[in-house]
Amino acid sequence: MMTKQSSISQARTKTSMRREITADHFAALLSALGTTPQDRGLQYETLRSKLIFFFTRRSLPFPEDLADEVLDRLAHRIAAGVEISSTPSFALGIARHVAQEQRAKQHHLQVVDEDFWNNVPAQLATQSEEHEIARMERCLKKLPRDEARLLKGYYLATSDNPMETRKTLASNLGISVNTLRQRVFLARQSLRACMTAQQRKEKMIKPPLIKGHRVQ
Amino acid sequence: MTTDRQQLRDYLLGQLPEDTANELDARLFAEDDLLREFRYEQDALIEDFLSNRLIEKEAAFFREQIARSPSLQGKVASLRVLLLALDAQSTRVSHPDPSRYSQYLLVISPALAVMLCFVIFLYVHESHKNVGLNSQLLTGPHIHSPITHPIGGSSIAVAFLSANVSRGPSAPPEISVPATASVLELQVELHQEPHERDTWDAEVRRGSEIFWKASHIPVHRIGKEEFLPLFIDAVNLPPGAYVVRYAPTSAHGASQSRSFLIIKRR
Repeated sequence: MMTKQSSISQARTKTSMRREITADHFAALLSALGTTPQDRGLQYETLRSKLIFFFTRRSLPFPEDLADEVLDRLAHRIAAGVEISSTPSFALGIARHVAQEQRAKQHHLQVVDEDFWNNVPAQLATQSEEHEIARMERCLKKLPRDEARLLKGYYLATSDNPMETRKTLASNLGISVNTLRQRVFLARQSLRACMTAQQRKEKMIKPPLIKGHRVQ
Repeated sequence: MTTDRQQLRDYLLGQLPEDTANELDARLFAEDDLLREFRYEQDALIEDFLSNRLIEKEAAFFREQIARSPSLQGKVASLRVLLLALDAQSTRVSHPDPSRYSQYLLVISPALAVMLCFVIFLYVHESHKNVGLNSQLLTGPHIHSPITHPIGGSSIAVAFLSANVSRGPSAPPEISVPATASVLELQVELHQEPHERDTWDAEVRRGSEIFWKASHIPVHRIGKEEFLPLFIDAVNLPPGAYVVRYAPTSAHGASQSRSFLIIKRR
């Protein structure tokens, strides 16, 4: 099974001229992306998401690491004083270059996590998932009732023709299908935040391990 | 410029011609709105993948993408857990597990039966007392006919002194006690105000003589009403005028008093 650590090291072997980003370079990149700290953070995440989509559609391994590689190179150029009129467009140019490099090397390295999706389409939950499902159910209960209903209506009512069902749902709610999707997206963001918080909470209450044995 | 969903999906599945895909790349980096559309479409794609709604070629390509991207793996796993959780909730609501349900019933049935019997007993008991109280109120303020309950060879007579019946100073309520009664249970209703004290001291005077006295008497509550139960020896209770005085045991509260007349009935 591939791990994040191994993926990073493999990505490093795949990308040429890998540079370690310094704090100054990173600060220069953020300054080029926005005027306020909030805006800079948001733009950084947006650009990184776009890069991930870019590499994902090309089926390149580890699109997240390749996106980080592009951001590193971009930061280096900005810190070096290269004049850039549009940062996202410049990032796209670097991304195309990185993609070409990867294509050239792809036949040498084929790293695929074959184990991951073996269980993905299974209809029944695996044992490790049951804990996650229980946690998700707790989070669903914490959601405002209308959001929980929305998620149920959106995901559970879709049988043969999900598009039609959702059009009806949107019409019943008096909103457009796009607004419906946006609301579902936001509700899922709330769920993600809840899941993360629950995970942290569970980690905090776990008793410490002493010499490999959990203290009861 | 709008982009239809099929085009976005084809882009995500690597099925667009290269030049069209490159145009979309450029737009993706220029427009933030398009990123949002891609996110929505990727969610829909994951959902279709999990629901086996993709054709084999699409599913194979997407499987390959998932395998190559840890973040996509996270998104797939997250939606899968959500769908399973929603499904589990829905199943639980619409089809409660009958075996579990019957197990619960099996466990709680005896307890419910005992509770039901107890509630019926309380209801009958309190109804009986209320009938007594009502009948006394209906018979007028002057004659109180206590309810008598035989206990062993003798009997206990119950009488209520209501707090809400207005009485003039010259017209104390009369309590008619049967000659056969050995004990008079006098239920003195306390005024409708919050009583912080749960125990009270009371005395019954006949003129200046203390005829009966008790302390730390617990309050008897019936619904919202509170009564002070006084058990007075009825055999040696001569007819005449009496005053009952009562105050919280702590003696911090003001004492209250009520006059009544005892009439012996043959």
